Amino acid sequence: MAKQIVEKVKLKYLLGICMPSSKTYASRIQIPVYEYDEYLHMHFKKNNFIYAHDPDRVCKVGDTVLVQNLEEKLTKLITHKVIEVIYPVGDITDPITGKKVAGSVYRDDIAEINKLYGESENAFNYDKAPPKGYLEDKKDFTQKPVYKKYYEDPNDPQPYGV
Amino acid sequence: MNIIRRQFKNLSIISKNLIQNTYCTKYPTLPEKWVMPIKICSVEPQKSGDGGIDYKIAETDYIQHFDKSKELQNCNEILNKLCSVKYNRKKELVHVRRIKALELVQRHKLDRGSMESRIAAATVEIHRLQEHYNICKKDIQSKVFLKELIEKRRKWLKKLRLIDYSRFEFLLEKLNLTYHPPLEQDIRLTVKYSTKKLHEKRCDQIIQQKLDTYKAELQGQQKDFFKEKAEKLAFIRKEEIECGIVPTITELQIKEAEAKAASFV
Repeated sequence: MAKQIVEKVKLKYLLGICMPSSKTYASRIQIPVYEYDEYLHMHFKKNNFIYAHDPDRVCKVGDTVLVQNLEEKLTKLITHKVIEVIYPVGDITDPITGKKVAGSVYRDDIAEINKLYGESENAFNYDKAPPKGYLEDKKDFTQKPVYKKYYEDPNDPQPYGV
Repeated sequence: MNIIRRQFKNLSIISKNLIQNTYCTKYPTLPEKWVMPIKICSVEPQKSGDGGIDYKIAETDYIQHFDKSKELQNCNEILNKLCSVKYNRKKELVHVRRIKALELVQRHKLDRGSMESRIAAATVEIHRLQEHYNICKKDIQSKVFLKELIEKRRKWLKKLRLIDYSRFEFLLEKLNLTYHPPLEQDIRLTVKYSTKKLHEKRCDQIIQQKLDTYKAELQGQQKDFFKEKAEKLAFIRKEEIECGIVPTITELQIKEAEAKAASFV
């Protein structure tokens, strides 16, 4: 008699980018994979999408996130869980110096240049700025997937319909 | 031949019954008849995301470079009118508007190259072209330029969001803009697609309603359940102590169940 061998699921860590998802307790994560084409003898980039369990909605769209596969599937879709947000979008610190960065420039450098020219009163100030994500669902519609409007109802406003 | 035909009829009835038992063949009826949404031009402010800026420019304000002159202030009314925004071409008004919009977001006085000032200047130009488009809709050359400018600004905003999220939000608030990311896949709207989607939405609503009512029903039973639980736990503990076995249930567990039962009033 053949024995039923129960194999243990190997736990793997994956790095991906968070994408907009309509689920309330899960976030959709894009993971790039390089597939080998035997005919052309070349690697081509392909994006795989997975759903990771995220009850507190830690990751925002665009974040670089570390995920791990679950031993048992939570649902048919959800196969992973979010462990840590490694690079939050638009709020990155330089790992070598530990300073905050805006693109390819340090934020302190921008402030110093502004001082030399004479900073204006209305200029953006990082210290006085409200917490990140305060315009969500008001002016910034990036957290949920955008769709084409397929019906019109005056009682039902569709902020994510284009 | 007739026998085969009769057999076929029976088969169809059996298959229909089978399908009805297993699958949902009838969709729930929609409350209203579906109407195709009105198509909006991509150039118009509803689509481009412009809410409009309050520039606070009066008709008597001077045009660019004239506002600082001291000689004009002592001149007569006619000369003042000639140098005002009202009695000049529209380009002069746009110059003043640009200065006002740049003041909202500029880092310093000479700043024109930063992302904020570039987007602010683009929005002023977009507002002008949208006003022009409302008057003469057949001016295709300016319409094309306007569409390109809107897309360019959207690209800048997308870039700025990745670089600096808080500055991106600051710009949206100051310039009164709304930002939508691009569509993942563009679908041609058809009657079949839209009615199917609406039916799916209606089905989801019905499922959610049923779930909510079931949840409320279960929550109503919680009070009696915890009361019974506390009593039974206490009874088991008492029996175990009387039999001379080490009790498996602690007093804390009983107290927790009692406290939960008391919380439902």
